[in-house]
Amino acid sequence: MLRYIGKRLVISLITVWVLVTLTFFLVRLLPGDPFTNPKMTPEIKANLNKYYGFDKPLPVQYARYLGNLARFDLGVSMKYKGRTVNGILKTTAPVSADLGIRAVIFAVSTGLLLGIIAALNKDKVLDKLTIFLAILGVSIPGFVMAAFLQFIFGVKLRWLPVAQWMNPAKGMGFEHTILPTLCLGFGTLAVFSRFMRTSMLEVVSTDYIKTARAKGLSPLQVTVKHQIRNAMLPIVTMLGPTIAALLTGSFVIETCFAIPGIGRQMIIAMNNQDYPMILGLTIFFGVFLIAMNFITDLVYGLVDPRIRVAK
Amino acid sequence: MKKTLALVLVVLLVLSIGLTACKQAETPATPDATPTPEVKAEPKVLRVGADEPPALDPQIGTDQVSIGLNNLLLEGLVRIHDGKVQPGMAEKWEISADGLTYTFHLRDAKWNDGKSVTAQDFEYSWRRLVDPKTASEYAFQGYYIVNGEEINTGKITDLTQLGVKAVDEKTLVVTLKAPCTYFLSLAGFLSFMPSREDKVTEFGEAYGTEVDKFVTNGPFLFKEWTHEANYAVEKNPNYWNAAAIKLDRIEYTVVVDAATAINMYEAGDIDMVGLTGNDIQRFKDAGKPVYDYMDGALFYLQVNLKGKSPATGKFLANQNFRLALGYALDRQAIIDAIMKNKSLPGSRLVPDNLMGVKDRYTKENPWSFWPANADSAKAKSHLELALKELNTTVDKLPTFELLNYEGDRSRQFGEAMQDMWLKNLGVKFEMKQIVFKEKLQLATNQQYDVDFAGWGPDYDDAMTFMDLFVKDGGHNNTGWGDARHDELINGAKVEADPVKRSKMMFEAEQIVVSSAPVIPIYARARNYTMQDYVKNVVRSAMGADPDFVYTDIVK
Repeated sequence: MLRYIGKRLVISLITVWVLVTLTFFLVRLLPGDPFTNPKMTPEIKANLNKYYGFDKPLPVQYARYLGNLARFDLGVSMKYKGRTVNGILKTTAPVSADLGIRAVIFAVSTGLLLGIIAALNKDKVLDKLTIFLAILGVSIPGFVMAAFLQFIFGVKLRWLPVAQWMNPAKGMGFEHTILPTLCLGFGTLAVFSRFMRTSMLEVVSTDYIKTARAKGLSPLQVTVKHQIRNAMLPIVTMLGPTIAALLTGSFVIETCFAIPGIGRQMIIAMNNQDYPMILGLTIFFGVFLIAMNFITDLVYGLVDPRIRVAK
Repeated sequence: MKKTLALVLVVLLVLSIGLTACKQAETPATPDATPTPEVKAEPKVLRVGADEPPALDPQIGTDQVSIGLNNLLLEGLVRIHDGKVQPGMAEKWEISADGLTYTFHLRDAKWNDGKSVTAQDFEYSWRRLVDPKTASEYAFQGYYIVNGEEINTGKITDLTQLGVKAVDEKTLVVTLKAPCTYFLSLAGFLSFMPSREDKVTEFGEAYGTEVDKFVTNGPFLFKEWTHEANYAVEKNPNYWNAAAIKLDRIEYTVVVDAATAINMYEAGDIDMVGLTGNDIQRFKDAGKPVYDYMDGALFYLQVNLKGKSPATGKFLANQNFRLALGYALDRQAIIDAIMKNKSLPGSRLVPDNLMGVKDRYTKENPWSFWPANADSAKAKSHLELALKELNTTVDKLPTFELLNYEGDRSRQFGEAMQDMWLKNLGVKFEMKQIVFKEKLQLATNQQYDVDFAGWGPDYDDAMTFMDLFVKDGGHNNTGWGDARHDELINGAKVEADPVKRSKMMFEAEQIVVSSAPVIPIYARARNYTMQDYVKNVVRSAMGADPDFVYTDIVK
């Protein structure tokens, strides 16, 4: 087991290194640079290049970056002058994670519930309704849904705030999380409900359900104890990537609801060719995804010994 | 394992039920507006949407957000308000007869931590601006001062050689390289606002990145800053002119999406909001006030005389061909269809809001080269002349490339122009829309045919547009050059007589516009709506916009 973990760890580290190296050199290939500014003269640009160490050869800059990275120093943003990338990650990542966790809880629980209801009412009205909901969820883009909900609940009915994330110090509470959570989770909810429905229907024709019925268990017992429990297993495989996707922020939802999250930062960084920010965010997202995969692999290994052996 | 999982899922289910229950319980409780129970005068609070300030350090910041916020937090020697120079930290000043020496006399004023604002603070800040080690993007603002450029480009390393001397705590003497009629208006700009040596040394790069890592001397105090979410300023009771400051507090919400900002305005969360396109008419139809102002920016086509390839360059280098492109465009139709506001067709290089000798430059030098509507007859005759000069025919014309900004509105602009060129001239253009920085790089490298570009004024003088097209100048990406034009511009830069200077610029303007390396399209108007109780918000083309310094709320 330890050898298995060690091996996975080494592979993960190499993946991070490849990611850093590729990103480092690829951003430099973009036309323009962080200082492309219509008002600037070549001399001033030279001063800036010197200030940020860009006058040094690229391999030297790369070595320096790796050195800093080893000390977990991601550098200083070039758009938000003087603010460290670490500092920006520290303020924005928790907000996105908070929103992401809410969206996961909402999407997975409601999605599973709807899937179960649909399966139990196969081909009836409730089933058709969930199919309809699922199609809506997958096909409506986030920004359309955000604009729609904002207009209905924020502008017209005035039940919920239009935008801004909660901030207890300013008296902005839970109500600020509702619309963004709904918008962010809706697509996932749709996927999970369809998946759960299919899974439920597959399980229902298995022998052990027949056995359970045959030995005289009540329909409720069969559904809760046997059908739902087994139908949920395939869902676990979907949880890892879903959590990773929702927790790392959404540009669209964060922009539409003026949420100070990390999803927005990547777009700002790219538009400004803010090298340290682009690199820092890529590493952050990369490490997060790799960590999620690593954990998933470990869990698989624990659950199913065959996976360990196969490796 | 299965049991734990089931347990987790059950918990999730319960939680989600809890969430839905909370939703129902809490929603009606959201109040629209809570009147304060106190009978005392209600604090005057202005609430606006804004972006995150990228750099409050005055010698580092260059963007509109930082300029706008620092207009409230800091104060330079003078204050620029509504295009006029007002006394700021300097209560009076003298200008020598040759226009080269400015002597500023500072008033007794305090930083927010109680220290006195001194002439030495300004001496330090201005040296810091041109110090190459600071790497200020706007260091060129200091090039007007003796040795400013030499220090910034490393020819002189001794900072004390800069033409700025603190004679004593309250007297600052500035020596300019050449007379500059608009130097006072420059002195009020962000780059010349003071930073403080002890704090810059203490915080280094982080100066101005947090409320407690910044010192201020302006009419408002910095109170809150939750990055990317919101920030707030409050009236500074110790400001020398506190009686003129009406607002108690300004609350900024970071909101970058225009549609969200409009929704927030309609829900009553903010007091003013920008409007574009269809929203302008929607608000007018609803009987709500819609205000407009010229923001000073001119959008134009710049033509690369070399072309992206020799095939296109051959035509673009021809003046008649460029004139044909310009006459084929119906500027007013483009504005009406896309901007849907009071933007003006670009008839010349200098927009209307810049200062001349005593009045607006365009008023003192009236002229209009490009018509508001397309003149297809004139366009065709210029095209024919061009074809004759190049000894070729229409069917041999290559397809040209129109370099354009990203975004829907820019695409509409591009499509409208493509269409007009095709209809009126039979000239084909392909559009290339790319990220701003990449577009700028391509333009600088002259890897384009025609570029849809814009320029905003840096200071209140026609020169801010006039010196763009000097041959081999840093901003001239067209390859165009004219000896007489350059002679006039370089002469105007050192001319002490303002009337003569204005005449020289006007002649140069006529040369560059009629040669058409640059084809003006429109001078931009912007629109916004605002609650009736908000009074005295100044919108301006230069410096802080919007300027809230003397804004009031009268409910």
